[in-house]
Amino acid sequence: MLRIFDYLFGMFSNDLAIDLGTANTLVYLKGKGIVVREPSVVAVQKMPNGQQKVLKVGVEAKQMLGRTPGSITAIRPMKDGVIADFDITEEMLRYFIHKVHNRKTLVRPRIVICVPSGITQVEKRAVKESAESAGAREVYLIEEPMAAAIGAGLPITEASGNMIVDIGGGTTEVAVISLAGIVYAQSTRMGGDKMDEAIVQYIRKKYNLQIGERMAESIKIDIGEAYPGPDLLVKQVKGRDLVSGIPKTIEVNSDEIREALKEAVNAIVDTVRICLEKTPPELAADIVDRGIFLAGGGAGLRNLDMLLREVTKVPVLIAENPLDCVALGSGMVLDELDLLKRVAVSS
Amino acid sequence: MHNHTVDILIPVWNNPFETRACIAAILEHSPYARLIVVANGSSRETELMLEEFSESLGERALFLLSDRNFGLVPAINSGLARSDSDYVVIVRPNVMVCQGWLDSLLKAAELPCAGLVTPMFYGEGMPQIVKPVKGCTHIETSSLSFSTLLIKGEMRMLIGNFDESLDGGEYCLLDYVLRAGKNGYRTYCSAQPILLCSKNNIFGSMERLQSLRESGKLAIDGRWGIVRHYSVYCGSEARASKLHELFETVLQQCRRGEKFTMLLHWRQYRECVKQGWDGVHTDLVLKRLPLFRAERNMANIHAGLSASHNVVVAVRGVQSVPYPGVTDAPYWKDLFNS
Repeated sequence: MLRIFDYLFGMFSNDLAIDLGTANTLVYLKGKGIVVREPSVVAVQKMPNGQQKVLKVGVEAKQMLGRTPGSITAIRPMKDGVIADFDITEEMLRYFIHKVHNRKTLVRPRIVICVPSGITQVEKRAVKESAESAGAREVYLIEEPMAAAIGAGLPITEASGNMIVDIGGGTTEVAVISLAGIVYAQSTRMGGDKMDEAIVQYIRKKYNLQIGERMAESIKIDIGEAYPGPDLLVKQVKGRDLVSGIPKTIEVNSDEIREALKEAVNAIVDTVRICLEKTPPELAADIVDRGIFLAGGGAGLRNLDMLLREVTKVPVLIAENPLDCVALGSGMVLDELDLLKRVAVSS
Repeated sequence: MHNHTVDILIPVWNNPFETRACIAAILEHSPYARLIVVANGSSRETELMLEEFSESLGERALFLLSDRNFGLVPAINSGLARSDSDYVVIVRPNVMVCQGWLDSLLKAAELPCAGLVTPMFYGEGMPQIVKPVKGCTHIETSSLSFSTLLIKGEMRMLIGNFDESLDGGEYCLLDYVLRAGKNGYRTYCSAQPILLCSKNNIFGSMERLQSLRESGKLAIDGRWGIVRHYSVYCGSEARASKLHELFETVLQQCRRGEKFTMLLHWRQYRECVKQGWDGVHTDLVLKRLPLFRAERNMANIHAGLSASHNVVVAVRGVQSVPYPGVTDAPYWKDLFNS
């Protein structure tokens, strides 16, 4: 009986696709596009009885960072691309679903959630149950590289090989896709966050200067590069001197930041190289023809495409909308149920 | 059967669940065979699964791990290079073997001059192999599949391994069959066993696969001559007993990769079937002409054959009997040096 009601009320719901990223969560609403782009942060308060109460989610939670009393902490439930805390994730999902899907109790949406490619069966089931508890009528899980490939416009249903490199905040996932399936995938826990951390450590070591995550990210975006470019870029960096303890400003250049990012970038390049080596020759040949596609926030790292091209001898292209690829791709399948059923992973 | 040494070669690329099931079935139903597992650039998950088997199998199995995926045929060749057994049987992970499968294949390998033996298949991924006629235990063939293939060790020592420069499929196997044939070895399709073959995705763009096929065909044509399809007509009067020499020659040509359709009138057809000519080779097809106005329909029949086989060469089976509708059809003795 409940199923009939679900079906009837489902006709009045708007389907959603959710990209649960380590750094940010994006929500795509069918017919509207990406409507939510908020940090994957949840502010929780520890109650006297030991339980946790969710206070804020997303932007509001991030704003509370560093300004809260001791009993309130900001948690990132996604770590290195995987769900570390399912209860908090469920609360986060509930918040985003209600924010986007403004119809309350009876009407429940169909939801597509993007998950990392190496996710276990137990984790898949947990994500599905979290989403259902958060208010979903039907939950489909699709792997992030698949969603990124769809969002990048790759012909994933054909027999030809497509390679996508999705460089996110927590992980980098490299996948070869053919016939609407991931033929081979390799993942590394190296993403934008670790790059920021590498910059923090480098400046700390070289200049005895402590800088924050946001400053590190800003350096990465403004002057970070994977391969030497024609110009030497410089940036003023504000931090706190570790010796004197007082604020200080220094100047860093792109050569230094390239050095700082070397290990992180090499890890990504190695992952791509290994994936290419393990791909059957008939698919590898297609990839050589079509090129490797970069997606995710990390795709924007200056000259990363050049470095990959140099190492792999394969053309490298950056997807048109790299930051939104995963969300866009998972949103696109909302309109094509047949495709969704083909690419969705079983849980 | 236990007098012979047998290696079972399994080329593996990911699909750990399917591969595990395949290996488990092989171990259960082939207790006296040694395994050679070639992991061809597989994922760590697959390698871990193989390591589990490796620990318990000891010397009963060889595990060859490669970081790179070199392709199916190079992987098979690398496994073959490590085999020195009387027989090697290639089994791909999408095949599920059954009770008695190996004994049946080895029995077929005892057929006269047998060098290669393929079983029958069923299931979603079954290769297109022409099966023996009803009642026959085996038939000679030129169409094989890497899904499951028995290779005689002494033959392999003589003719070598598969040619990696070919398409890795139809033409690579055809080349091997022809090399075997040139050295006096025959290729059989055995009616038993019948193995379950699940779907095996064929990757690669259509253009690339087509290009591979074309280059494979060119290579085969250059190496072995263009493979032709012949339709042979003997007239209505010739008795099957008088056509023995013709059929023997045709069979020899089939072993060289040529294809034949024998156009026979009703009585001839019955007699040829009685003599067993319908079950000697998959490329030797007996076609029964219509009972009435057979000769008048020959043009249509020939056109129908040409439509399905590209180019068909009309051949006279009896010197004095013309091929209806074709003025200069050659006589078979002039065409094939018998």
